[in-house]
Amino acid sequence: MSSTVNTMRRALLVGSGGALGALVRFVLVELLPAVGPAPLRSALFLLLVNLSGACCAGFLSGLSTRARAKCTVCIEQFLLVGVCGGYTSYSGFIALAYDDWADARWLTMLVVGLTLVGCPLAAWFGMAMSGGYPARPYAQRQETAP
Amino acid sequence: MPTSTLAAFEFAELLPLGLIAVGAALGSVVRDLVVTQARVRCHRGDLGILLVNLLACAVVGTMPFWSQGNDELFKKVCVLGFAGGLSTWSGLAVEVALAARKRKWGLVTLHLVGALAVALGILAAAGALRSAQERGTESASAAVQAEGHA
Repeated sequence: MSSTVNTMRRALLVGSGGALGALVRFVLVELLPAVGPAPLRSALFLLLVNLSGACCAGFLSGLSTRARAKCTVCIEQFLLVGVCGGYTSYSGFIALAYDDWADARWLTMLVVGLTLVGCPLAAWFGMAMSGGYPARPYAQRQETAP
Repeated sequence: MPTSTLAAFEFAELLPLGLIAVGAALGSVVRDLVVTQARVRCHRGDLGILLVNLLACAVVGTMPFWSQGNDELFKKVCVLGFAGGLSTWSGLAVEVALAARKRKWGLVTLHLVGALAVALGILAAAGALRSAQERGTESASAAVQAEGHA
């Protein structure tokens, strides 16, 4: 019974977080680029969304290693898996790269490159900021080497 | 403005957001399920993330085949909602960062370059299939018209 309740609670937290993250992404990527004097590329907005989401995910994953048990459930399930997971999108990144390739080849290559390199770096930065993971895990080994 | 018209207007504005939210909630739950099972059974949560990302790209690529002309509605529910919730860059970024910390460059290459190549390949294959289908439909229509004129 308790495992069923836990499973349902997890599904509720992850699902509601995912819905919230996806709605924020929709506003930023689909609605905002249409506002203003000239239409901006949705890909650039999605790049910013993925970078910020990766940074937050890194921060939260580091935080969850330091937080107490009750906070960890909320941090991991709702914020990390739910909100950050729904906020960022790999399929949207691929679809926009595929659609924009014919129209703006150089911009597409730039966005793809920045996403591939920037998102893991942003996650690493987030982890370092949270203090849950050291920014340079091999620093001690280098300091003690003769 | 009459109250019923206002209510209908508000419903029309909120319906796409509701569809995206429902699709994303479902996609997120499926993603969590797949990644958790991969972590429990294979001790490889990163492969679960790779799988859901590629699955979401397949959903996006094949959407025109089964949207039956309701492209806008399906785009909102399936692409922006379900596929958006199913796939994740944040989880992937954390896994890649952790792999890079452990100097596992093969994994980093797999998740960044390998996944990108496969995902683009899925979309390219779906696009080629769709083009072939459209060309077949056009040829059939032209043949029918030619028979009609004859």
